[in-house]
Amino acid sequence: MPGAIEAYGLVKRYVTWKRKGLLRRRKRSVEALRGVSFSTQWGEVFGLLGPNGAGKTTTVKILSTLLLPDEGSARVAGYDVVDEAVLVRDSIGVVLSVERGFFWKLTGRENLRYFGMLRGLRGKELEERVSRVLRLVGLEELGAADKLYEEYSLGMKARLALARALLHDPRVLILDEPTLGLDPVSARRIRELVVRLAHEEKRAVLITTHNMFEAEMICDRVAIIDEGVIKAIGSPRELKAKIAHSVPIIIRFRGDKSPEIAEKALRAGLEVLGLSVKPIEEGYVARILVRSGEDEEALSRAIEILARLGFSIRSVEVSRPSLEDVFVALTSRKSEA
Amino acid sequence: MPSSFFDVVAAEFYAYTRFYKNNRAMMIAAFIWPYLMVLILLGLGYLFGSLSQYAVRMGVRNPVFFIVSASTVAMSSTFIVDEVANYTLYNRWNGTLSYILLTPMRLPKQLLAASIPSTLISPAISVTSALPVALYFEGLRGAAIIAALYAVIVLGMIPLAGLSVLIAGLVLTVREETNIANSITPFLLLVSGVFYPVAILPKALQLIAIAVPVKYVVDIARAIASTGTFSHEVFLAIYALTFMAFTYNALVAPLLGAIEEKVKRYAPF
Amino acid sequence: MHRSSKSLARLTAVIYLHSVRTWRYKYSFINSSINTMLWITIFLLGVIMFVPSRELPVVAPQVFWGITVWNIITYTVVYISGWTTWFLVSMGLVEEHILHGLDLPALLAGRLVTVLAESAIAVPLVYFVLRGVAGPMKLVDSVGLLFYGLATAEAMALGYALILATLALRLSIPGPMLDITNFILFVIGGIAAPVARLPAPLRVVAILTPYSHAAEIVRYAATRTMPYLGLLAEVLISGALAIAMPAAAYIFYRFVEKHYLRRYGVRGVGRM
Ligand SMILES: Nc1ncnc2c1ncn2[C@@H]1O[C@H](COP(=O)(O)OP(=O)(O)O)[C@@H](O)[C@H]1O
Ligand SMILES: [Mg+2]
Repeated sequence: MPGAIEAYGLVKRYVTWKRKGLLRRRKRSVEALRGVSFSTQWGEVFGLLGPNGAGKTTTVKILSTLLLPDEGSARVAGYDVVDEAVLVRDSIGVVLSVERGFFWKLTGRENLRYFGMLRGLRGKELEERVSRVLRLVGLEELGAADKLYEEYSLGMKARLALARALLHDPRVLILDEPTLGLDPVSARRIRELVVRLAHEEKRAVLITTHNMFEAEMICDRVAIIDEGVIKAIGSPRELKAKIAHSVPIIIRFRGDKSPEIAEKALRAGLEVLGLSVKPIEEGYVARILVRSGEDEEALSRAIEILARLGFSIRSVEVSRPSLEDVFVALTSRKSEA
Repeated sequence: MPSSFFDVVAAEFYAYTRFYKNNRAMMIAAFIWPYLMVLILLGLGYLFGSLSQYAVRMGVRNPVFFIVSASTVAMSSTFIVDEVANYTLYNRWNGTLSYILLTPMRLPKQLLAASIPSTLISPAISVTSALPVALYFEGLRGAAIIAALYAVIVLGMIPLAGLSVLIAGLVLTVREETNIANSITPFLLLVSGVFYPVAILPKALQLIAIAVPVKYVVDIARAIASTGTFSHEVFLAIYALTFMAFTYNALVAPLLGAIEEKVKRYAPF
Repeated sequence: MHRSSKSLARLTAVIYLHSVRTWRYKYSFINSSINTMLWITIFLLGVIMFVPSRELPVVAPQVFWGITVWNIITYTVVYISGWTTWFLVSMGLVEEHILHGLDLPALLAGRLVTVLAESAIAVPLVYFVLRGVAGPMKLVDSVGLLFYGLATAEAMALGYALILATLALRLSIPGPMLDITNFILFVIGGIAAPVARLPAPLRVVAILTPYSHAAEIVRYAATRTMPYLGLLAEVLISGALAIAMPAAAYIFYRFVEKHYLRRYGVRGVGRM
């Protein structure tokens, strides 16, 4: 049996025009993917992790035949995404967005019926499949199957998107941030379903997310992508082993100065393996990855640096490496806070 | 921070002028529109009949200038009615309606304040586009006629303010793709007889016309565009408009509270 | 799955979709029919002020059919190209349809369901108004030719609308610009009035306007007004255009899909 998804050296450049005055525009090229390769197995949930703008959606669109790669190639379910696009489309179920892509004035069931007919389903078979996927994603039990799409909550919209992806019983599922912004109940339902579809029914699932917690929970293997480049591939455990020699220090602090100042000072004053500073409810959280054995000294230095800048420390924690730390260690980009 | 009526007007004024600045094509279209109406009427009239026939039936001495100014009236005298509803719809599509409803002001007042800038600017653009024709035929007096036309058009919209808000509320509660009540404006124009005498309409429509403010705008426009003077009919029409401005809005006012409540109950955002 | 049964299922899907949507948005399109009818009436009454009373019985049916053809054309263009820009693109539906193997032109052509529903309301209303003003009149002489003329006009409009819709996937075309060409062609392009009635230079414009050929057939079928180019010529030209324009639109779409949509992605368009 061919591999589920195989990508070789995918490169994608977007062309954008920058307005200069009334008529003049300047062409600019954004390199969204710079040689992305990976492959996934049948029966596995494969996660593509990366911050915003990393190139996840671009990868998903190339794999689902919506975009042509500028260089490289990819096969999905054994078919080439450029030359055998129609066969690929028949073999995949795709979630591109959890909040768009349906008709507002049709109910969930009517929307599915419509997209099912486009797939060539008809009559009794169509009705049965529609009912089955509505039950599977839990829209039936929410009593939402026959409500207009415009009345759906985000969680219901996401479930409907997944239901549509399953309608024609595809062997490969490609899901672009299917739990983005969802309530915990809907998100859990979708995660459980995704795992079951892969492990029990031996489908291949590619899921993108920037939620490390989610990835660690459901993915058998992950690829970390940043600025169009794959930084690491492996099971969450393997990736964590790569940074086994390091320890994450988590400091929550607050103050009036900008977090960039804190980040700069920490980078300058410490020997860090990885660092991110993000805003949280009250103040900021710094995740500092240091070599194990050096953690105590680093901790007191970090506190000193922050205190000198006028930040007040709220809590300190020395933790065990998680996927998040792998991510912090690998994504070279400075935090986007 | 409590925002006043004028803060909202100022903010919308900014947004509206930006919109035109960034949308030159829209601006050009706004200038061209009255001429399209003129083209249709004069073009078809010429193909199927004659201009002199029209001048005689309408009792105007310069039919071309008359049709140009009547077209600007047709374009803009009911503008407010569609504008309030379209503003509301646009913001709903845009996802900005909930934020607008969060401003600490009653909904009707809010909607009205928001549509004042466009209600003033858009007719100004329409009448300005008629200016070259006015100057060509009437010289400087033409410019004065255009200015008077603008004043009358704006005055004529005041009685329609309350109605506009009612319609916007209706549009919000029905939840459809477009403004489902925008056929009210051509109806108002139809009974007011912009391009033809009201006398050719069925009796029932003529009776309705008496209560429609646009009819008086059309009367005044016709009088000043064809004679260029303010006769006593013009003053009568101005009195009628002023009277309607007070009574209509006073009549509608009690309904506005109900509409606001209904909108919030349906939560159509 | 067999290809033909798949196509049939897709056709059913598109008709199903547009019928349900038309019904759910019924107030919108009923309002829009009434709106159109009222505006038409306003201009109609204006135009009649130009026409000497004794000529009214001859002119009225010509005006009626001119308006009808225009109504069908305009709504086809507005409903199809406007929908693409404001709705399909911003709702993310373009990509979903590509994924489900339905060419966008096929989805858009289904909007004819809505267009025909709207015309079915507006056109009779215009007739009643016109009858009220000009008295009873004979509207149809040859049903077959009338149908042929209307159908070819519709097919041409569909082709034009699909081309605009395809452009709208990449560019932001201001809607009002469409209206402008549309009104100008109505008057000078041989849609509103018989080509023979136009001044000589405009006749060239009219002959170059595809719709005029269908309108000439419709007028002949209604009032026996002989087409400027002769009946047979018009029948052939209209038929050819009715096939060529949608075909060109489809080829253009395939080109844009391959070279733009799949290369640069679908863009959100304009303000809104
Ligand atoms: N249609 C487009 N035109 C131009 N640039 C784009 C387009 N789509 C994405 N990009 C750019 O490509 C990069 C990768 O985007 P994307 O694949 O959407 O990232 P992600 O899904 O990981 O957030 C970003 O810098 C983004 O701005
Ligand atoms: Mg993305």
